Amino acid sequence: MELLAKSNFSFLRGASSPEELVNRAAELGHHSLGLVDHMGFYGSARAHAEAQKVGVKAITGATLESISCFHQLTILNKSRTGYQNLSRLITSLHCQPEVDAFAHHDITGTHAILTPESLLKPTKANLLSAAKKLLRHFGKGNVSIALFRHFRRGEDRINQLLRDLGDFLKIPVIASNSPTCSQRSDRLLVDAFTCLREHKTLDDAGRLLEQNGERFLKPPEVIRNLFTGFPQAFHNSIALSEECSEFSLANLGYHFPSYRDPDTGKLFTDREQCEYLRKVVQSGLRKRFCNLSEKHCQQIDKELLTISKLGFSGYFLIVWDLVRFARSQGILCQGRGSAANSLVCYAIGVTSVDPVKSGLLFERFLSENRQSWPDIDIDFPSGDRRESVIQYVYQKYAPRGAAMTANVITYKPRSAFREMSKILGFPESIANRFTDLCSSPKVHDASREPVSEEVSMSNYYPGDKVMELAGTIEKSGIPPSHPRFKPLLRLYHAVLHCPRHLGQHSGGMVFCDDGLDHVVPLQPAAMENRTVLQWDKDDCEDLGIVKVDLLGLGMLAAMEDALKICERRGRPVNLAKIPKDDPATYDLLCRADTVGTFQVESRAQMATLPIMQPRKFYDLAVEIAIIRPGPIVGDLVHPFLNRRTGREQIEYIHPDFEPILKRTLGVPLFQEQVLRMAMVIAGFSGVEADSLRKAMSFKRSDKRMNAIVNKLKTRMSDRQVAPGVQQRVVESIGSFALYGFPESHAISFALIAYASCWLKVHRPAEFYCGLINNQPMGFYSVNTLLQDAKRHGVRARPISVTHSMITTEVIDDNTLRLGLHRLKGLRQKTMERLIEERSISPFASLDNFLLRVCPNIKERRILAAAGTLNNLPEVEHRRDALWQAEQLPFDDLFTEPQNREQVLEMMSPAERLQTDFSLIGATTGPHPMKLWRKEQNVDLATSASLFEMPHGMPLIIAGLIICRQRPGTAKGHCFISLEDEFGIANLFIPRKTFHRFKLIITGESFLLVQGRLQITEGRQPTVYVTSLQPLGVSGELATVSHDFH
Amino acid sequence: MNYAALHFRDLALSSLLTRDGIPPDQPAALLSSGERKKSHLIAVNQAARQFDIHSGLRTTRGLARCADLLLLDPDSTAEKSARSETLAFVDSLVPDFELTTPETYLLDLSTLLMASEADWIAQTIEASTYLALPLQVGLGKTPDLAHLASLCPNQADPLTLKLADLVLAKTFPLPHAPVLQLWGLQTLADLAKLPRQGLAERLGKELARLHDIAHGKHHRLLTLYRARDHYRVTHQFDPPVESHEPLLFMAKRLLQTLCNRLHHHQRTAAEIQLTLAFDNGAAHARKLILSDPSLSPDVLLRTLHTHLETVKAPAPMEEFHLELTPTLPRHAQHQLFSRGLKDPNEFADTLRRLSGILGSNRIGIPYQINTHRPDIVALSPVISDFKTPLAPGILPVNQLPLKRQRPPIPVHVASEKRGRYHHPLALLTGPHKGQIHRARGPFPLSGSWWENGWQQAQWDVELQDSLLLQLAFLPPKQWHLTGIYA
Repeated sequence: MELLAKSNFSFLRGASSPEELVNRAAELGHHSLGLVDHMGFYGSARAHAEAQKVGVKAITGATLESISCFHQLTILNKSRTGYQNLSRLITSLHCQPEVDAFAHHDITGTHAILTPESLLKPTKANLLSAAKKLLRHFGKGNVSIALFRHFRRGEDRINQLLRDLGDFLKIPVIASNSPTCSQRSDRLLVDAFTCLREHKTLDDAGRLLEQNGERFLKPPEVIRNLFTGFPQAFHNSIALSEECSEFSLANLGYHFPSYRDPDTGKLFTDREQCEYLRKVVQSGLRKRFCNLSEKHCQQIDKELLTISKLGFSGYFLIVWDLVRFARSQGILCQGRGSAANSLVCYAIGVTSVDPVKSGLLFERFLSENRQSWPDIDIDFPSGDRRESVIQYVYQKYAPRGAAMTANVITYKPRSAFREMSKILGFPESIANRFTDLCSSPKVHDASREPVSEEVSMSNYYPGDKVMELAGTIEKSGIPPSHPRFKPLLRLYHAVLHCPRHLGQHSGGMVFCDDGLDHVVPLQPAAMENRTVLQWDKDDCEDLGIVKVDLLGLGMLAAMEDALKICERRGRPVNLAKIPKDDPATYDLLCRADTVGTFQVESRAQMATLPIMQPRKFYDLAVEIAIIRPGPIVGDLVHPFLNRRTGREQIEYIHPDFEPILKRTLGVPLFQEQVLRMAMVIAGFSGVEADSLRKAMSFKRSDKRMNAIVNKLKTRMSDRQVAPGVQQRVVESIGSFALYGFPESHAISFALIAYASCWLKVHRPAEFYCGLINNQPMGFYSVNTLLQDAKRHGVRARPISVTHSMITTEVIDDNTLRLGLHRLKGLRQKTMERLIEERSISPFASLDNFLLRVCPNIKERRILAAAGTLNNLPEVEHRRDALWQAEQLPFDDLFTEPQNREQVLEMMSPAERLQTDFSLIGATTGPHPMKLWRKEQNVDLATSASLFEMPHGMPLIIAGLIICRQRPGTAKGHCFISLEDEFGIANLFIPRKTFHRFKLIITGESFLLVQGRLQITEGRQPTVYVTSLQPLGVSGELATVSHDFH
Repeated sequence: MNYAALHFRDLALSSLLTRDGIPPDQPAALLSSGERKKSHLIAVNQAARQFDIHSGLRTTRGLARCADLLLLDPDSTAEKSARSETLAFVDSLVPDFELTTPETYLLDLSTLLMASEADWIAQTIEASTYLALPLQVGLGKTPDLAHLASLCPNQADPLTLKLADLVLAKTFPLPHAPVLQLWGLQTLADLAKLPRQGLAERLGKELARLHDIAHGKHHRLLTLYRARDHYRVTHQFDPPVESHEPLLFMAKRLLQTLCNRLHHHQRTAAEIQLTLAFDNGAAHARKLILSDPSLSPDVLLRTLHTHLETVKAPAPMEEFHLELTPTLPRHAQHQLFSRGLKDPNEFADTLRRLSGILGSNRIGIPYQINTHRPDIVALSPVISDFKTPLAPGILPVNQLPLKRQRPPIPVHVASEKRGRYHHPLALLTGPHKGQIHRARGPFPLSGSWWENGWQQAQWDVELQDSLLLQLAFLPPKQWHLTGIYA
């Protein structure tokens, strides 16, 4: 019956997790536990989930800070109404702290507790006034007074004052230990958190720290003994806990919003929603299909029936509404994930894949056996356009009807070490060294040891258990003999994985018809006009709160821009209608000419495409599915490729699998296939198959996976499946778990990938323009994109104040004009002023430009150095502009033209290149390698000439590094993409060579490489590097390479 | 040419190379402090420059360009020693010179007779070979031109100096270096070619000044270097003396001389550094800080005298050194900001006498340490400028006045363990023995668990005779009588 516990979700005010507190409460024999986290219900969802497991009642409440005259006021919920009222009150305190909370909020159903910590100065008069105030607001019977017994001097006096107050005003007095941790030993972390909160070290914190370690969760009988002089307090606590236990988060009262009648604005009933959804689906089907097949009709009936039975019609309508809004604003969007398995989603425009045609399994998305809500993730163009959809949701459910789900940021090894070493007084340089040393967090596996209850560090940390971490700390500069070494280890492990602060989820949104703030408190997010709720997505899922993921995809933004430009130029493209069998697009894929495209532009994808030779859409989906981090990097080649190229025979493990695995040549590639295999061979039900899916999901819990695999084996044995087949089924599932990908997701991504490739082939200028306007995104820098564009006959003209718009524009099919946005350091308002002034009249001279646009000195230099002023009259070259623009012109009425002399010499090509890279990050001029080659006059291999060389030929090649990759699975080998003026060459650097030249590889931008040519499968040339050295390119170019380590 | 500049290039690095006997063809660089992986090179030698390694480069890139690059951490001792050697060398060349930067000296040649400038340079370089440090000599008609010339290797024209090198040298302010780079200016000559007015209008007067320097139109006076041991005196006793009197007699005379010198340079003494050498090889060195900087030989002598009274000589004294640290005199209007003490030096003298009797660690102003640990105080040093004392930040929770036992008295207590804590029943030893009539507590306190943790449980007890005491139990089994309530 401890009513006033604080968890580590009170952020720097509690040391134990809600789960730890609940488990400890159960161990100690508490029937209920009240969690009163600081300013919120942050830990309540987790406490509720854990409490259900261990049979303890979790009471919700919160400790509010600085409310009315109270320094801290603890409030418990007695009913759902109370919960909803308190939730609203907390939301107001976060979102409108200036409003008087008591005056403007209904607080029915809540119970206030006056504690010794409620007032900063708990004098008799102050306590009396505060208690009267509480009685006035909460009403008699809804106020208690709590006594604490932490063995502190002066505590008896304040307890006596509170008891007298209770007697005087007839307010019941309750007993509590107000724990901030579950165990006595956790007091160390409480002290550490106090230091972090107060920005002090432990040495300086002094009396801010705990006096003793008595503020932890104690057994009920101990609490009773602490208040032997006043047994009524203990009984009152039990009575209050029983009263508050009547409400739990199981009765949260959340309902997914119903769809409103578009005509009347009234909420639809369930039946009306079903009918309306059917209408919408049928209308959508008519648009999608000219003639609907029988199979489609059966499927749509089946899906609508399931949706209706599960009561999800409103959910589909609301998602449809979002998509419809986005389309009405010209925003591209597409559902991803398992939603593509649904024909309803296809019909209402959420997805773009016909699941019937693609043979996708609807049960993977939704089935009557599954109790959880469907999961629809929608991709929107990242940036402003996604934000406009999010703001639409906020507006639609305003006020406070929508919020982003939270993302709980926890202490990771580096942050744990940094903050704990800081409060122990170690210099920052030690934390910096530790950060450098532990590049891989796996090194620091935290295994908590049971600790002694004595307040002495010598017993806290058995040295033999932490040698690995201890070694790293020692290397960071703290020897094990240091007196604070053990405390640091202890605190490090205690704080690891504790919540640090609340962030917002990347795209998960929750909304509600009648105010989300009565379901869970909301608080302002870091981003303007956004609110975030106090639970993360798992908490929401546990409590049946439905979220819709509105995700951002850079490629969609780029494609949307490209499509708009196409339309503006009179060559509109409808992505839904582009042919899926365009030979030119597949040719591009087969020759791995995919720089800038979606999903298939990485080095690994480009290496596989010529082997794969995709000639139909499904090949592309497979390509996207198999090139995952696991199988292709290093020297592994996927069994699918072996079978496709005929090196391996196709076989299906078991004859029953043939219909399932035929499309993927007998290799289980997709989640759907694995689920079907389990259903066929082991008779798994839909629910069991779903458990298998969850076990294989990204969390990859070994325990969960082993349990489901054992079940699979048992079922297969029961069905007399041969042991050899059993083994192969288990192996294929195991290997699948490493790179699993749902087929529907692969197909959804393949659609975007195909569309991006199609645009690159048929609308290259628009395609590159869209990409450049939506940087940063993708794998390659703008310079690489411009070089690739040049190779495809699209040239970019330099930025010019007389021609450029803010964004990059297409001039004609073969020409782009770089936009002012590419200039680093030019303010948005300057760009806007420039465009506005130019639209009024052209700039007559540089002085005229400077007087009208008023760029600041930094901008004047940038504009001049980048050559953007060269087209203005009387500007000879970049340096001439620099000299002239350095001084503002005199704005006299009568100015006479002066004879100007050239003071500065013009830039050399190398200087122009260097300036372009530093100010624009790219050059529209010649490739740096072209200049180098001209200067050096040497005959080296080029990326183009590699295709004409025989296998094994020794060669020397030079170029600019645009990508370095050294994935963990590649056994230490390194892959580099080296760009020259002809294209991109792939380098393979064996482990030994990499270690020999590591500093050059990681430090230099340009390389001169010696090696021999390897013609790999798919006729792809790769340079096997034997030696390399930095290339003496004059000046330091501010190049950008995409590196993965 | 009236001026010469001697530039010991990369002195910090060169001093280390010289000390360790590293040959000049070994590429070497000096590292910045901090993590080596993130460090950069702060100085490189000529051999390293051959590999396109320059200061400011990341260490990893430096190693990538020359795997044989020798990386050295700065060593202030070696650098200081090299500086004093170069100083002595320059002092031997001319009477008047300026210590412009730690690596550069500007010499006034107007008083020097020389056959030819080239000969003088050759002789100077020849004379410096014993230093084994790279030396660049420059001559100029103005000090700054000479300085610029010394930054160029091989006595090249100062106008050939690269602006990038000028930025690295940090001796001439070059506030718009990135702009000059954008303008394509490589050398000082390029800058000198620009129209002065246009340059001044665009980039301000500092660059116009540099323009003037390059054209020899800017002249300035040297800030002549004066050695610090000007305020240091040494006296040897023959035979060694066995009492303070002869020392004080000599000190009085010498202090008068030193005070005169200080007065001549408008300085006062802030501290006295005294070193005594005894004939058994022992030595005694002490820095005596004056509470109030003074030029009075009497004040200085009294300070010295008081200190000497606390010194026990292990053997006859054969030599002593006195050095005064100069500081600017205090300027304050009479009684405008009245001091806490009329005569701070007299107060300091008293303190010094007290510390001689009690020990220096037992003199100070006590203050309460911010901790839950009871009755813990520390001493802050006594300063002569007294301020209003701060009110104690920590007030006792008890209402009753407590007379503390300092130190607490160990007592034997009959006790009974109830739960986690020992409950006192009777005091068996100590000044107040007897059965405990009533007890309130425990009040457990603990802290400093991160270093030398402590814990105790306090009890307030009442004896049969109504005497109220405060007891403390210190685990594992110690009891202390910590105070008596009034």
